[in-house]
Amino acid sequence: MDMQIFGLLMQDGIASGAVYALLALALVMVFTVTRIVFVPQGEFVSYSVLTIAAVQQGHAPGLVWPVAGGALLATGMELAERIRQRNPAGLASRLLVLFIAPLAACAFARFGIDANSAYALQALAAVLLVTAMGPLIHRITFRPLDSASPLVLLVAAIALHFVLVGLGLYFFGPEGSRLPQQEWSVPLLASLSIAPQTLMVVLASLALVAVFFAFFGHTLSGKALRATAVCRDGAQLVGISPDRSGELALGIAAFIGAVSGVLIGPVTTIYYDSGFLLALKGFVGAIVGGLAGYVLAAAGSLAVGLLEAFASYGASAAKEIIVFALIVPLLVWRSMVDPHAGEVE
Amino acid sequence: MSAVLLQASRLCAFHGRIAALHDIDLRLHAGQIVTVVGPNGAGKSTLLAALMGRLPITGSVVMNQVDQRHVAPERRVAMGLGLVPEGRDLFAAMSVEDNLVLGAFTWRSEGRRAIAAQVKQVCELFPRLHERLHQQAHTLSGGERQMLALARALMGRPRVLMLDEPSLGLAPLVVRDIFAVIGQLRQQGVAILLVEQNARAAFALADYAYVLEMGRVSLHGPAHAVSRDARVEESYLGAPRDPAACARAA
Amino acid sequence: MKLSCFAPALVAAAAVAAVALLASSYYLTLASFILLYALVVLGLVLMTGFTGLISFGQAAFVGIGAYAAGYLAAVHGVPAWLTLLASLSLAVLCAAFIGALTLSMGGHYLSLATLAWGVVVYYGLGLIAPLGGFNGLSGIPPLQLFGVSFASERSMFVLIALCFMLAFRLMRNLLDSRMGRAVRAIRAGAVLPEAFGASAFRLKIAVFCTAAGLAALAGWLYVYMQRFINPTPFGLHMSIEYLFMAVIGGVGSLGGALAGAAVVVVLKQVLQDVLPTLLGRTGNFEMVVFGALMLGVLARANTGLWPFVARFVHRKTAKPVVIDAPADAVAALAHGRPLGVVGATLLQVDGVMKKFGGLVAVDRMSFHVSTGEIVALLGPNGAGKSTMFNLITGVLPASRGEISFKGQRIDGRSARQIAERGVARTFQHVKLVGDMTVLDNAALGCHLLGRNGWFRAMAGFNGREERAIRAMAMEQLRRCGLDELASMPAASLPLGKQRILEIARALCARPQLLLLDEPAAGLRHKEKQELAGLMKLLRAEGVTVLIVDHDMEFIMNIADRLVVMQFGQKIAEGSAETVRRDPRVQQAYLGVGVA
Repeated sequence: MDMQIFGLLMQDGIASGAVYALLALALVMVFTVTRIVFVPQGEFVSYSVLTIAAVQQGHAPGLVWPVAGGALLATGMELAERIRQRNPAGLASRLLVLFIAPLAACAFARFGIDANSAYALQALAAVLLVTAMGPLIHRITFRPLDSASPLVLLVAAIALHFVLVGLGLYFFGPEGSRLPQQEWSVPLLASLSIAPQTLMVVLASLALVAVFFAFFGHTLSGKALRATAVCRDGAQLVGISPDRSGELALGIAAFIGAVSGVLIGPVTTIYYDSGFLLALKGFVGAIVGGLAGYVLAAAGSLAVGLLEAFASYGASAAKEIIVFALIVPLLVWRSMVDPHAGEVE
Repeated sequence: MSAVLLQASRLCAFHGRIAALHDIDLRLHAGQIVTVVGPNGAGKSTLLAALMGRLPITGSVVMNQVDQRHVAPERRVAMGLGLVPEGRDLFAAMSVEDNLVLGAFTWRSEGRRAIAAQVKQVCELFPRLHERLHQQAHTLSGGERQMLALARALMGRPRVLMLDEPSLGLAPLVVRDIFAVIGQLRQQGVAILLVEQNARAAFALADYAYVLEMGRVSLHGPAHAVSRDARVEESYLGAPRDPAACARAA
Repeated sequence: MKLSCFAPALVAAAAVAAVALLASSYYLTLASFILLYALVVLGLVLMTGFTGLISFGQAAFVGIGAYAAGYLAAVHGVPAWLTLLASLSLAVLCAAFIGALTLSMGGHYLSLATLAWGVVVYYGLGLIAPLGGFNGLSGIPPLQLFGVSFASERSMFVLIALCFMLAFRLMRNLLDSRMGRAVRAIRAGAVLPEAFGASAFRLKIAVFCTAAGLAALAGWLYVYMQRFINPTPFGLHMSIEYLFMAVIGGVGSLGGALAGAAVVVVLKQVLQDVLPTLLGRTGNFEMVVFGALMLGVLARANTGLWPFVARFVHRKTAKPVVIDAPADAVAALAHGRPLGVVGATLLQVDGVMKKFGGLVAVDRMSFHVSTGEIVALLGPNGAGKSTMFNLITGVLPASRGEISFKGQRIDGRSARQIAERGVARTFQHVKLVGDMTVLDNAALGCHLLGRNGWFRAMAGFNGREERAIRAMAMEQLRRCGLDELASMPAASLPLGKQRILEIARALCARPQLLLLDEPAAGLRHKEKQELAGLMKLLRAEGVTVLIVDHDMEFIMNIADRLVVMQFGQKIAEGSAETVRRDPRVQQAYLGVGVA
C-alpha cells in the first residue's frame, strides 16, 4: 500500500467515521434523555438522502405523505388527551410543534422546490421535513410507553424501525440513490490530495458538534435536556416535562440524522434500508463511550470508520467480520477501564 | 383567615394495587405552616407524592381553586407548587448555579437578567451556596445539598411549598438555619407543608399539625394542642428532655 | 398428586395430537416453526426475563447448532444422536467462551458483544466454503433416531413438540430450584446472590450457555426438518425477531415464549396472506402493519401478552404452602454450621480506614464483636456506618486495616467468601425479588446449605433437598411471623414486612454473625417490638448480631454494647447507659448549646 492509497483510505475512513460519530452523538443523547436505544436513527439519514434524490429526479418527495399523516395523527392524539383532561394550557405551542411546523415543512418540500432549485434549497427542504418527524415520532410512539422498561422501549424502537423501513420502501422504491458530488476546485486541497467532499464532511461535522455543545452547555433548553438526562424526577420538580424533553431530543436526533444524510449522500449509495447498518456503526461508537460519554463515542465511531475503510481495502468480503470481531476486545478493554459503565439500571 | 391554597379531600393514594393513604382531608392556607408527623412507613412521603401528582389517586386535590386531577406534575410546578423531596433529586453532575437557574424554568420567559437577580436573592438566604456557585452539585456536603434543594425550589417562586424531612441527616445547627428560612417564607405568604420525623422541631415551628399513622390521619389540630396530646407526647416526643428522644432526631 | 397438576400437560398433549393428526401441511409447517422459535425464545426469556441479560445473538447459536448437525450429517453421514451432541456441545462451548469474555461487563456491553458475535457468525458461516457459503448446504438426510424415522412432516412436528415440552419442563424445574432462585436474584443486583454465596458471574454463564443450548437444539431440529440450510435465517434480523417475540409474549414467564412466537408468526403469516389482496400488490406493507400492530400491543400491554393468558390458566390465590420434608433432611441441611463458643471474639475490626479519593469515610475504626452479643453501630447520617458495614461484608475493599472473622482475615475477601464463612446480612435498601414468593425469597438464604447443581435442578432430581430447604425457609418465616404470607409475591408486602423478610432470609443461611442494615427503618412501634423480641431470641440461641441503625430507642432496648461513630471515627463505646451519658455523643446528636 503506497502513501496515496493510504491517504485515500484515511480520508474515506475519516469521512464515514465523522458521520458515524454524528449518529453516535444522537444515539447517546436520545438514550440519556429518554432511555430509548433509538434503533431507527439511520432512517433519518436514508430518508433525507432519498428525499433529495427524489426531488432532483423530478418526482414529488413521497415523504410528505407519512409526515403529514403523522402530524394529523399526533395532533389528534394530543387533542383527544387535552379534551379528556379539560386542560387547554400551552395548546398553542403544542399545535405549532405537532401540526403547523410539520405541515409547513411538507408544503415547502412539495411546492417550494423542484428539480431546478438550488441544491442548498433542496437539501434544506429535506432536512426540515425529516426534522419535523422527530417530535411526531415521540408523541405517537413513545409517549404511550412513558413508564415502560428500557427493554420494552428498545423493542418498540425496533418495531418503529420496521414501520419506517417499510414506509421507506413504499415511498422511495427499492432503488438506491447517490447525491451529486459538490464540485469546487481548491488547488491547495488538490495538491494535498484531500477531496473537497471529505473536508466538507469533517468541517460540517465539527460545526454540528460545536453547535451541539453550545446548545447543551449554554442555553436553558439545552440544560433542561441535560437535567432530564441526569435526574428525571428532579427535572419534573422544576417544571420540565419529560415528554417535551423527549420530543426535543428526538427532534435534535432527526436533525442530526438528516444533516448526516446530506453529508454521506455523495459518498455512498443509499437504499431504503441502508439506515440500519449506519445506525449500527454509530451504535458501536456510542457503546464505546459507555452510552454516556460524547467524546469517547465520537472517538469510537471514528475508529469504526477507519477500521472499515482499511478492512474493505484488505479483504472486502470479510469487512463486516473484521469490524465486528474487533468490537469484543474493545469492549473488554472498556469494561476494564470503567467497570460500571455498561450497567442498565 | 387567609386563602386556602391547597386542599385535599378524601384522598386515597395507591402504590400499584395497595392503598397507601386512606381518606385524607387536608388544608393549607397562605402564610401557614402545616406539619405532618408520623412514624416511618406511615405514608408521609406518599402524601407528598400524591399531592404532586406522581401517584394514582381517588378523591380530589385542589390548588388555587383548580382541580388538579389531570394536571401533570410539571404543570403543577408551573402553577406554583414546589417540592423538596427526601431524595433531594438534585442535578448532581451540574453546577450549583445551573441547578438554581433550572429552578426558574417555569418562568424562564422573563429573561436571563430576571433569573440572575433571583439567583442572587436566593443566595442571600444561603450564603454557603453563593461560595460554591460554580462547583458541581455532587461535591457538596449533605447539609449543603439540602440547602441547594430548598434554594432550587424557591427559585420556582412557589406559592405552596412541600418539604419532605428537611432535617434528615443534618447537624442541629444546619437544621436551625433551614427552619429559619422556612419561617421567613411563611411571612411572605407562602403556604408550607412540612413532613418531619423531628416532631419536636416541627411542632415548634408549625401553626397546624396532622398526625399520620398507617395511611390515615389519626389526629389533627393547632400544632401546640397536638403536641400536648398524651399519645403524641409518648410516641413522638419521648419523655421530656430525654437525650434518647433528641437522638432520634438525628 | 391431584389431577389438576396434570391438566396443563394433558391439554398440551391433546393439542399436539390434534394438530399432528388433523392439520394440513400448511398448518403443520406453521405450528412447527412456532414451536421451534418458541424453543429459542425460551432461552431468551430465561436470559432476559429472569436474569436481566439482553442478547442479540441467539440466532447465531441456532445457526451453529444447525450447521454443526447439517455438515456432519450431510458430508460425513454422522448419525442423528451424535450430531445432536455435536450441536449442543459446540454451541455451549462458544457460549462459555463469549460469556467468559463479556459477562463480567454490564448490560449494554453484553448486548453489543452478542450483537457483534451474531454478525461475525452470520458472515462467517457464509464465508466457510465447506459449509456451502451463501448458497447453502443441501442433501441432509432425514432424521433417524433409535430406529424411528422422522422423515414425514407429522412425525417431525411431534418430535419438535416433544422437545419443546421437555425444554419447558426443564426450565420450569430449573427456575423452581436453588439455582433458579439464585439466578432470579441477579435482577435485584449482583450483590444479592453474592451475599448468599452464589457467584453471579458463574450463574450468568450458566444461563447464557443454557440459552445457547436451547437455541442449538432448535437449530438441530430445523436442519432435519428443512433438509437444507443457508445462513439467512441466522442473521441479526432473526435475533432481533426472537427478542421481539420474547417481549411481546412477556419476558416475565416461560409461557411468554410460546405466546410471543405464536403471535408473531401467525400475525406475519396473516398479513402476508391478507394484505396483498386488501391493498393491491403495489407495496409490501406487511412490515409497516406488523410494526404498527406490535407498537399497539406494547402500548397496551407492556409486560407482554402472556400475563393476560395466565389469568385464565392460573388462579393466583394465596394457596397454603404444604411442607413435607423428612426431619433428617432438614437436619442434614443445618449440619456443619456450629454457632461457636459464647464470649469468644467473633469479629475483630482493627484500624480500618476507607478513602474515596480525598474523602475519608472511615477513619481508623477499631472494635470487636463477641459471640452471643448484640452490638449496635450508631451515628448520624454521614458518620460512615454504612461504609463500615460494606467493608465488613466485603462489598467494598478497605484502604487500610484488618478485619477478622473467627480469627481469620476477611478484609480483601469477596462478599461470597465472607458469606461462606458464616456471615449473613440484610440490606439498607431492601433487595428482594419482587415477583418471587415470600417463601422463595427466604429460601434464597439457604443457598449455601444446599448442594444441587444446575443439571440436577433441571432434571428434577433435587426433590429431597428442595423440600428440606423449603421446610427450613418456612421455619424461619414462622419465627419472623411471616408464614401466613408465604405464597404471596414479595413485592406485595409493605416495606416493614419486607424488611422482616430480609431478616428471615438471612436467618435461613444459619449464620454465626448476622449483620442487619437499618432493620428498624420503616417499622411501626409494634413491629419494632416484635423485631426486638426476635433479636433477643436469637441472642439466646447463640447467634451474634451486629446492627447498624439510627433509632436510639430501639437500639437501647436490645443492644448489649453500642459503638458510636461520627465523621468516620469511633467517638464512644460501651453499654447503653454509658453511651447515653457520654458528652461527645450528646454533642454529636444534639449540637452545641441545645438543651
